[in-house]
Amino acid sequence: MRSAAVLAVLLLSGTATAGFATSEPDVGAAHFELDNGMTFLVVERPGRPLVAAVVAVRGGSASDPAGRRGLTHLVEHLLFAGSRTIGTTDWEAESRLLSRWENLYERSVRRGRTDRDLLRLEQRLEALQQPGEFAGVYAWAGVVGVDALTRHDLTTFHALVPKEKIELWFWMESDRLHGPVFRGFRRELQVVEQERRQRIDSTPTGTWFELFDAAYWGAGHPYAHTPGGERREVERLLPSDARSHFEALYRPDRLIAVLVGDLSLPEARKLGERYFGRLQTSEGNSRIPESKETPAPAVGSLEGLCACRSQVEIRYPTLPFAAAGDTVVLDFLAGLLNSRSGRLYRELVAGEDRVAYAASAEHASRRLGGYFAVRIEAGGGAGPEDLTAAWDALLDRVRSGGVDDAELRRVRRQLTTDSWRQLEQDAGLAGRLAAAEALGGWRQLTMWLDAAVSVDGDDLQRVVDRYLLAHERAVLSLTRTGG
Amino acid sequence: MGRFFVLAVCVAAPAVLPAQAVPAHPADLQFAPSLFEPPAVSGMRFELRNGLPVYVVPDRSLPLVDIVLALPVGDRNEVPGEEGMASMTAAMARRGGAGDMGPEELDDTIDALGARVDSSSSWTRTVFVLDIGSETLERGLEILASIVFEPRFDEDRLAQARDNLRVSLAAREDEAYAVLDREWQRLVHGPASPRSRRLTEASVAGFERDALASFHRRLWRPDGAVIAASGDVEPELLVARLDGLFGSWQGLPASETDADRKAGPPGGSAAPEAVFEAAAASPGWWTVDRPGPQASMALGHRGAVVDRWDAGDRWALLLLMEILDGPGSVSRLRSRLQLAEGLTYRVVTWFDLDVVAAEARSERSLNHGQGEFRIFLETAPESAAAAAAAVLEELARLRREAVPEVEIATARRSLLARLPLLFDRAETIAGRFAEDELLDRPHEYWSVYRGRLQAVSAADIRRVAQRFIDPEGIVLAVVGDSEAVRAGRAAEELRRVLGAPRLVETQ
Repeated sequence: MRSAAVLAVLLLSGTATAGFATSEPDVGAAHFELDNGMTFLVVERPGRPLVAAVVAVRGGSASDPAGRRGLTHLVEHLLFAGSRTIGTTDWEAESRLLSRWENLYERSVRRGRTDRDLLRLEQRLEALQQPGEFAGVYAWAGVVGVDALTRHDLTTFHALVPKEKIELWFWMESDRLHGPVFRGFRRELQVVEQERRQRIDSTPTGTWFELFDAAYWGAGHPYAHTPGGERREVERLLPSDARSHFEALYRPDRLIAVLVGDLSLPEARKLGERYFGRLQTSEGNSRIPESKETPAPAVGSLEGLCACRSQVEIRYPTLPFAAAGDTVVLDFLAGLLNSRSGRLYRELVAGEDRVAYAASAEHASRRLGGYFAVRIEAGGGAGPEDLTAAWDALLDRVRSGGVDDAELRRVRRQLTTDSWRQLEQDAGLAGRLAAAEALGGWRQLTMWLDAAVSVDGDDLQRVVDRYLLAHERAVLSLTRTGG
Repeated sequence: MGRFFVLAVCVAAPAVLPAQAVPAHPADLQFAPSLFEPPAVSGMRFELRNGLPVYVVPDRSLPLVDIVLALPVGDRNEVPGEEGMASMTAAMARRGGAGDMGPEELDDTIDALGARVDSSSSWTRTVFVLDIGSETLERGLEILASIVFEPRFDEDRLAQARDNLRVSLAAREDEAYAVLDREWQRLVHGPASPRSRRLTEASVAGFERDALASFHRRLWRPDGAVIAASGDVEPELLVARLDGLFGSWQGLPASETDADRKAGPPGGSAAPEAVFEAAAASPGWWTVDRPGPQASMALGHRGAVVDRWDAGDRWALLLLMEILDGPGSVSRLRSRLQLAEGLTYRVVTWFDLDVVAAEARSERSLNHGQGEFRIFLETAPESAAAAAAAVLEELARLRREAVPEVEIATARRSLLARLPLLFDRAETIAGRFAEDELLDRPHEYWSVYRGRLQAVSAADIRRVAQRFIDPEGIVLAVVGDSEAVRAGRAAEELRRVLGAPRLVETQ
């Protein structure tokens, strides 16, 4: 649980499958706002035994303060430690010890060593703490799928709640946002470190993609680090950092709740007002600075050896997320290249040369910028340069030969049925609605499909000519060790 | 009217509280009892002329249809030398063209419909999935039937697949998890077990068109198969159409299957169920040296067998596993390894408890199941021994001490809470009942589920812990920096329990 999408999980992008049909099945979300600015989206689905519920925050690792990369992700983890009510046997006694512990802990971080007083105090604290109570209350009530995710522009908390017990979800989620207690801080740093090792350090390509992201976006760019952050900065984070970041990021007007299931709108509104209505913006708290001018993405190549299939990722800078214009055309282009009858499979994987083992395209468009990426893994004895050359040749054929009507019809059809499929699962729909709302409004999902099915061959030629330019791209080339 | 009035007062009672009052503790909240009961199967089950069962669950909310056809054929039907044949046959049926369509035309046709058609194979089954807009369902069904009955296994696509498999073979040491999975299975099941078989250069070379066609002809049969359908369909119409396409399917008569087997490729070919002698496991502590910042480990032994789905020990084991490592951090392994000690980000546990009738069991020479009891986790190499020792201690505690009632109750609630997830949409309902048929699990299993779990006692749980968890048979495999693992915290303690670590000679 509490996973972070350390390698970029992208919002509404990539395989160009997000979107909803406007004409036939409609997502049917109702929207309301509380006085404190918190947004609610409700999709009523009578008869469902579970309600898919999401609390989302408009902000993810791109909101990490300078020098504290990984803080947003750590706060996400700490929010499972409970509150003044949940996770403690005696809050008054615990809070006194906790403030002493924080002082000792800050001193130990400054000195670079853990002193015995700190460990003794931790033992006394443990006697007062119940770190599993948050999960325990949910488990006892039959709430399942409790999880959280930190992405670049968004942090989400997920649960599937028996419909009879939906009020518990309102209680628990509003309680931890109302008065979280970041207990078990030192242990959670260890867990975050374990997560990083599992997701990045232990995978053959993890470190390379992390380096590529850093190089591509450039130092200081909010997307230059993965949500897990920088190890050296994470291990020096303090409880006070977590508290002030929480107050800045989790302001009510940055919060979104999405509920999909057998819950009526009036009931959701009543419970929303009762529970989340108590959240207030703290006076004088710090604010998340809006990103200033960000550096332009890098051009060039990063090359390395890896115990993995030889492969390349070729990135072209594009546009931030939008449900219109060239962003959508680039999403469509990814659809044209993908799938078994798409150009990548047909020409690189199943073609005569069979230069590739696998290949895919993705348009990753986030709030502050986007890129079009092609990933190709080598088949047989091909090296990265062969893969790049094969892609260049394919792109030239798109440029010179254009796109035929059958291809356009195929992609439109796939995007439309994919958009229906995304309505099938309540939990998936709740997550997508939260993400779309954070990127400018849930209706963008519908608008996106309307725009996507109108894309034509001229549009595709235009974006290929405008964005997929060799002199603007960045390339990660990995060669199999010993290969 | 009087009754209505009383009801209204009851419902309105909480409104006496101030509008914004928030109860001080979640225990103060009052909930209506959970009303969820698994749906009844009646009206959902149909049969084609040849007896092939079809489960149909309509849901008209979206213009989509899902069709799943499952055959009881998988890796377990392969004989030595045929490793990967079940998966290859399934994959190439979809990729290699079908009927009068070559591979490209088949891909184009499926994609132009906006459909998804997949076929794949696992240990026990081969599954075909058609996910399509309802207005093009007819065409989709024809394509599905064509893939099942008339796969072309195109030579060029086969050559491409063989090339790709060779690339995969060359990369099989890349992921620590893959190495751990392979070596742990070999230690647990013995090198001769079908569970220990892996793809080899020789088996890849054997993936020729004739070999796949032979496997297809012999083993893809309607007996034991099942179809699940859901979505925007009219059940009777759909079943009639399925009957037209699949109702006359008979498969080869047994005599011809035998003849075909004799004439088959060198090394013979699969019997309908490959019989094998359970080979000896290699209990103890094993390491695979692999430098790096993280160690992966698997700990456990073979799964077990009971003789019926409703066996009391089966229900108790379900609860035991929930107590040990149910989702959410309340379970014993998670609360200890994650919450208390911060040793790992994730623990994954499963226990395969096969249901095999007593008379069938003796034929198969199986005292143990073919499945596994496996606890998997990753941690820093220097913490690996401590994590393993903690897991062993928790297993010993389950055998030694009665689990407190409150813990059993939490586990029971948690298991029951996941029950709706198994029936939450038309697709999952149809799939669940079809799976019953495949596994020979009575549909009544779901209607007794709640009651059976409620009847399990602490004594039952302790009994199954003693019956199914075998401390003497534990295999621990750790893939990581061996020196750091052996020198890690609690390594001495672990040595006392499992003996000195031995280095696995990787293949």
